[in-house]
Amino acid sequence: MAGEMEKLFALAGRIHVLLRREHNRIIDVEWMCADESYAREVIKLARAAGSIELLALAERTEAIHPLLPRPQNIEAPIPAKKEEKYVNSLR
Amino acid sequence: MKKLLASFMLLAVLFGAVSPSFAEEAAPAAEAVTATAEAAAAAAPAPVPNKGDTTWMMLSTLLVILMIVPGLSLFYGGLVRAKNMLSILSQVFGIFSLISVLWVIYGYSLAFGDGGSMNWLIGDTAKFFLAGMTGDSTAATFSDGVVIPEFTFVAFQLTFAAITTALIIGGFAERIKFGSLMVFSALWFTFSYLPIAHMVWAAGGYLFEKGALDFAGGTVVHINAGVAALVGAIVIGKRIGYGKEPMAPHNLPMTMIGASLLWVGWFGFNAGSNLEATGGAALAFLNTIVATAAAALSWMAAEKLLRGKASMLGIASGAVAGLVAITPAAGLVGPMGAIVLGLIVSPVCLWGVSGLKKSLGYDDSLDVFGIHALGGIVGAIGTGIFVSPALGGVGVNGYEMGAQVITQATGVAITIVWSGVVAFVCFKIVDMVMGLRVSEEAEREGLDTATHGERAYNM
Repeated sequence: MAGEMEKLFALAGRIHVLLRREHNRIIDVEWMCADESYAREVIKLARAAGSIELLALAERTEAIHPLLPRPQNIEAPIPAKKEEKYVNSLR
Repeated sequence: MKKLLASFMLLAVLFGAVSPSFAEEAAPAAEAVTATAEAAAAAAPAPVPNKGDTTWMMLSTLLVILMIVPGLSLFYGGLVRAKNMLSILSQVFGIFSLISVLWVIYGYSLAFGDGGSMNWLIGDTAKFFLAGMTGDSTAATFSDGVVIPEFTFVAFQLTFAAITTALIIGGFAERIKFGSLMVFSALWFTFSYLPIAHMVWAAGGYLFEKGALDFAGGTVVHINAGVAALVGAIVIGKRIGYGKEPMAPHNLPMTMIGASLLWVGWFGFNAGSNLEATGGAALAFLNTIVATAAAALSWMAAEKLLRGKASMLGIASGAVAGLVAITPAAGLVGPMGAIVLGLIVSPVCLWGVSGLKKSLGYDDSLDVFGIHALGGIVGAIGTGIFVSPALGGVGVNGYEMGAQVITQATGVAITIVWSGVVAFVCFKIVDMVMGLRVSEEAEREGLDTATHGERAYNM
């Protein structure tokens, strides 16, 4: 699970860099890993960007994101633990 | 030798003044002595600044500037999200520049002048634009007959006014309009910082005359700024997404560098407040090390106990809390008293930035109230206790612990009310005239591009 989250974070980071560099769009990588609807929107944005690399990253992200439904998976996805730190306080 | 002779003559004159019957009996002799004393006084040169003291004070001034422009900027800058990094750097730099100019135009005169019938509250206009001040003008220190160049004193005090105003921005970081902040800073500096500084530090000031102790600015700087920051956080409102999404610091190493620069610069702030390079400065210097270290350790321990992990941000925050707490006490308490103050302040501030903040629900972005105001209150009250010679402090004339603590609490209460009311009125005026908060779009985009048109990181 921890390894999968690391992979997801790395993919989201690459999407972040490409969207910023090529399309001047900024996304929140951490929030993308923690929030289902935000992740859906970013994947939609990546697919619509018209870049082969972004399209591939969107597919891979969707495949491993624990909060998104995966038809090939028999087991229900385990919801990721929401990061509580920094939500209500800085320290 | 001349000093000895002059002192002897002065004593003789004083003795004559308080013993009229004796003076009458020995009138011819007294007249002769008075005449000699007057001649000696006329011949005695005006006190000249010591080169060592002058150098120390200029170095201390530089150290406080180091605290502000790189120190506070990086400390705060690392704590905000990457999209707002430049806004923090710009705000601190802008406020330092603004207050520097305002200080020499009218601030110094209003803070340290003699206000006549209003002297309990504010100074006068006699030194507006530093009128009449030359390189030979001198300012008194805590020792009789010891002076420093007045320009040095003006510059040293300038840095205090600048850092106090700059500290406030942490309360409403990531959402205020830059222009509105500059106008607010000028207003708050004029109507809150100057009267409080005068009341606490100037001869004739209300709290000064009451005997309130504030060696380097626990009330004037930290409580004053912390309360204004809290009022700002409440008036401006929470950041979009606050309490729903994580708002992680974007660069904690930068925050650590900032905290370290703050600690180094704080030696100028505290030891420099002695105004002379003497044993008093040495005591303040040592206290600035040990109180800070004790506070860093106690924050570390409290965090480990309560949350299971001692964070780097926690250690840095503890150090800052310790620096805040020792500020009013630096040259007044002994090193062991300083350590106790440091150990006490961190758990209080940790509660302030977590429990208190959550329960009241305000968005003090960088915890200015939780650390500076609460730490300042602990320091101010603690000064009244640990100044006691029985607890290793240097003592003050007619010291009685209960009475001193009440005086300290009075100073704290006046500062909280004054700063709070002035900040509220200033924020409301600025809000009505030009608006305080950036648009929702600008806030989401980040103030770096929306307000300043540049990015901190082009990678």
